[in-house]
Amino acid sequence: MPTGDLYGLLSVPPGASPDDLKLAYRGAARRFHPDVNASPGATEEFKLIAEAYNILSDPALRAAYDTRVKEKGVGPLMSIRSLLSREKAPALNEPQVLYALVEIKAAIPAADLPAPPVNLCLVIDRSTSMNGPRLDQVKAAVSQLIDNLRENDTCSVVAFSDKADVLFPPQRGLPDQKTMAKAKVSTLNGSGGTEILRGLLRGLMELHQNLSPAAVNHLMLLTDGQTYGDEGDCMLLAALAAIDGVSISGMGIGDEWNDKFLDQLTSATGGSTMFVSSPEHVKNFMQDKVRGLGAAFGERLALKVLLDQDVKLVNAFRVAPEPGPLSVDESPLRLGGLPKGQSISLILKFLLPPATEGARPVARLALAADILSLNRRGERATEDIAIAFTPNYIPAPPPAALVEALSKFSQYSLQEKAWQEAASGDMVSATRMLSTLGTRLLASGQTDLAKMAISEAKRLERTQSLNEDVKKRLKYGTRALMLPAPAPSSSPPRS
Amino acid sequence: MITCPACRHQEYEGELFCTHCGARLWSVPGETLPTMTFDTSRLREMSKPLTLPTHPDTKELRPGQISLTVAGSGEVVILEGKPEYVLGREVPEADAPDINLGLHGAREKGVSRKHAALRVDRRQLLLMDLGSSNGTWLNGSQLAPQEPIRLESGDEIRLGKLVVKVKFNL
Repeated sequence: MPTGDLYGLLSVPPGASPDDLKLAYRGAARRFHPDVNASPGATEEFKLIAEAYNILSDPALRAAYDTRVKEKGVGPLMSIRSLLSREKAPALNEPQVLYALVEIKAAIPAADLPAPPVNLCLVIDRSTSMNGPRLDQVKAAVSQLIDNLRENDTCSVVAFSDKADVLFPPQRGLPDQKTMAKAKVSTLNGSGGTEILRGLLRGLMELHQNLSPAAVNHLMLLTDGQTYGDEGDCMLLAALAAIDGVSISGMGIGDEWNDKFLDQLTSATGGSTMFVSSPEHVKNFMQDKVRGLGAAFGERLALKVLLDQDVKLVNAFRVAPEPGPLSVDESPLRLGGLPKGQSISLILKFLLPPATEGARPVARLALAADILSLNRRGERATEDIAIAFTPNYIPAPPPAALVEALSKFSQYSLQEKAWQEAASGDMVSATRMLSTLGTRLLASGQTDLAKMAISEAKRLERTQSLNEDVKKRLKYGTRALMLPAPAPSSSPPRS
Repeated sequence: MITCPACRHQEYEGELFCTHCGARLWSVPGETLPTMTFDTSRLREMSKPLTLPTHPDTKELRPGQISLTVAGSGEVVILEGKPEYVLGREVPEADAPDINLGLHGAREKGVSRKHAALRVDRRQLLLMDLGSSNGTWLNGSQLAPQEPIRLESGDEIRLGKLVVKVKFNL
């Protein structure tokens, strides 16, 4: 039996009449019928809609469902809402773009709910280049993290170079175990290369010992180097981790790690990657991350974007709480955890087909998540996106919140595009984009980032090659600008 | 399609910011674009060269010093007091280069005996390939032999396969 909001599945209010229900059911079934909708997940949605209608169209079952909802006093536990770049669009014989700013938050007061336990594994790069301040700072950060473990948390540490060792297996947050764990951490020293697959595999094996649907299961990967040749296998492991409900976050130290790969790896699991521009920041990053994990209201959020006929999802980006790209080739989009008192915001970019006059559904956003502290799994929330095409379109300004998010996203996208152009050998175009970005950043008051972009443009013109450090600073710097101000508990990467 | 007023790039109808230059593409009828006011001190600041925050894991350099950090080993060589340094690896039968990288796996990494030169020119540092067998790279692109190119502190140079980070305070 479907859980959660059955009326939401049919996009009708709870008091809908039997006739309205029938009409809504026909409409919804037509949108997601396997014969017309090939998008992944459409068939499953179609079945859910049919089950919901079976219940709601039977007066006895509907009454029983309504009573159950009323007695338990719970409706949907999460809310999902979208703000569109336009509510109406011109009926045109050409494709057009539609943006949605999606906000997901708790639909019930969550502040006093108990905190979920965290099942954590730290996977630490111990290659030669980590020696010195990097490893010293990482050791200090891990020691502090162990100190802050709560009794119900578990933590293990794996150190890897071209081989992986378990520094200590999963330990509870108890005083004697903490002392032992910290002693083990202090013995860590660096030698060898960086093979992320080995660390990842070993780390996931350690996590599996305590894998629990009632906990936040998380792997934190720290590295300062590139891994060669095992990226594909790492992505496979990440996909498996996501299925098992494990999220992976990454911290890249210095300027030699592969940001694109780490972004892909972590976002496939709902996690994100942070740029640690200077080793002494590791401690704060790690502390904020673990604090965030332990404050989850929802966990393992998975969003299916069920597209209507001929609509394409071109781009998906998580703006908050941890900014980062999401892969539109994967379904569902994994969004990680929803911290108490915060919301998750996403930018979705759709490409609509040529259209004639009339209202048209664009996509259904079907969210599922585990609400750990209430011990509820697979809780759902649904949002439908639709647009009205009109022959006499009068342009209206897009909503301010969406413009705000998109103007920052456009700055981030501009630097991404500059690196792409540079990688494809078009230094002239890359240089121009960087200097344009500098101007835009300056106009929005981001003097430091603006200087960096302009100076990198000059340098690119002169040397025809990129500086990796500046590239990462601009990438993660413009990304951090997207966080709504004032920033939530986690500190954005310093630029 | 719509055309970006700033860079003429073609965009889909409904796009809000040009994907090529970030210019705003929507307007409200009757609205005039606001005039931007710049603080001139900010513009002056823009013309100053950019100094990235130095990493705490590199030693502070005194004026006149150049540091070479060999990737992988992380070993640091400090250069000071000469107008030119020849980078290479020592072999028994020939003159030693000024900076012998032989201790840093230079031979296996294809560093020539006289591979490249660093030259101090006023407050600039120039790098020149001395016709090495396996080439010299600056931040990933190969240098033409005998043609000096100006370095910036923090640049990464590659001699054959040996990667060296150059920082200086001149």
